[in-house]
Amino acid sequence: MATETELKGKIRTKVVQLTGELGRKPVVVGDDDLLLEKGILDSAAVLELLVWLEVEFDLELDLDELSLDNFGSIDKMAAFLMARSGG
Amino acid sequence: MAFPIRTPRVNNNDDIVRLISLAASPGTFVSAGDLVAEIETDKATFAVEAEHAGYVLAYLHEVGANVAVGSVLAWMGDSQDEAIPAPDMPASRKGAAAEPTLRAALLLAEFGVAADEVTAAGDRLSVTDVEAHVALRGLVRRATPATTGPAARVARPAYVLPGVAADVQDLSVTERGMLRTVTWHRDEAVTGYVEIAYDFAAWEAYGSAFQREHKLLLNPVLSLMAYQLAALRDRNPKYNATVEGERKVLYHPVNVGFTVQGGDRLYLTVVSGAEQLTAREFVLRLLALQKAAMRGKLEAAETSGATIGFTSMARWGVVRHQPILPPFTSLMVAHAAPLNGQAALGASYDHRLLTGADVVAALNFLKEPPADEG
Repeated sequence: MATETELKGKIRTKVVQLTGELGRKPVVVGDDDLLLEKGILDSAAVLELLVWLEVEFDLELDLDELSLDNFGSIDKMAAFLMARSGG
Repeated sequence: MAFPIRTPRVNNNDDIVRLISLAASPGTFVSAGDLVAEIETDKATFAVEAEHAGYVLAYLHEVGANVAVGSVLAWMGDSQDEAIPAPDMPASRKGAAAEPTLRAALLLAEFGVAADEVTAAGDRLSVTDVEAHVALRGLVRRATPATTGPAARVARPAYVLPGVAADVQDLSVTERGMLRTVTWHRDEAVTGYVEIAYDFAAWEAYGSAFQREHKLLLNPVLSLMAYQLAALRDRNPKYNATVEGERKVLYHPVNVGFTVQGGDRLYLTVVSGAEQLTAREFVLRLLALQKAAMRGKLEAAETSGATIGFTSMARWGVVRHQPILPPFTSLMVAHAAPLNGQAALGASYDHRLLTGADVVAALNFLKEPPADEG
């Protein structure tokens, strides 16, 4: 399992890629930015991000795990993944 | 010299019109522009006027008759005793059939109709003549091998969803008229499209409130709009229906089809029995389907059986799109991105079952979120 810092880097790269696919201007994404609330990604793009996380990290996310507390920002996602992997 | 008044086309969809009145008796002199007859379709009434002054010699149809567009409606002449040319007389009056063109002859054989049963609009019996004849009588192509009797008249596949409970009813007179008059949608839906302008702000606020209340990660506003489709069935069962032959099939469950882009594939995911789900259950069920679609893990049952549909291209900035109607359904709603603060909500629909007014009523219902707070 990657370190939390490496995880954040991977997720950040994916977020920037998704913003580009949405046709949005390049953005600087802070690790604590709330991706939906700040309008960095739309709901469908966040869903794409979740699916990417499942594939990339070989896990299956339950619907009740899909919360702002777990996936609202890059920080929260990395923390969730670390906790999931026991790291 | 005699000259014809031909049956005008009232609108692009109708090859057959109904003669509803005759304005002048044979032998009467009319001036150019005088009314000679009135015709109608299911959508409009139209006054047929004399293009030139002259005497009305004869009408070739009686009031109430269905008449092919382009065929001779009446003959006029410079004097009352002009002879009416034979070729444009109905075949039955001439006592001999007009010779069919090759394609018309093939079509006659397909429907098991004799040439002398069909009225020719011109010198030769054309495909248009045959199509008008079979449409008027609701005939369908013969089964193969050809047999006789009513059973031979049904040779089409069953256009209904397998395994979806439904009530089957005969079409109303108006619906049957639409089915037979617009000949090319007799067997399959040819969609109409309408849209309304509306303010999306109310839905945005509703979706955000729902998201907060249920602690959801994703804004469920589009899912909630799709969920509102489930309530349409009780307002008018024809929104959740299809046409099979000359019957309408009114589905019991509301199986909401919702388009999902998964990579380079577009899926129509289906939430079955939406009318029995709470809004939250619907949102979560659809979320699971969206996730499965994006991972390419949808089961066959999760992409089949839609009885009504919803699609959105708003995330790509599309402000108007006309969706394809899923098979065996009558309504597909299209959500789009606002333009200058004004959003459009549109729908493709099966014109055999629904009128534009029906669909506008549905869209007006869908444009407002429910009165509760989600």
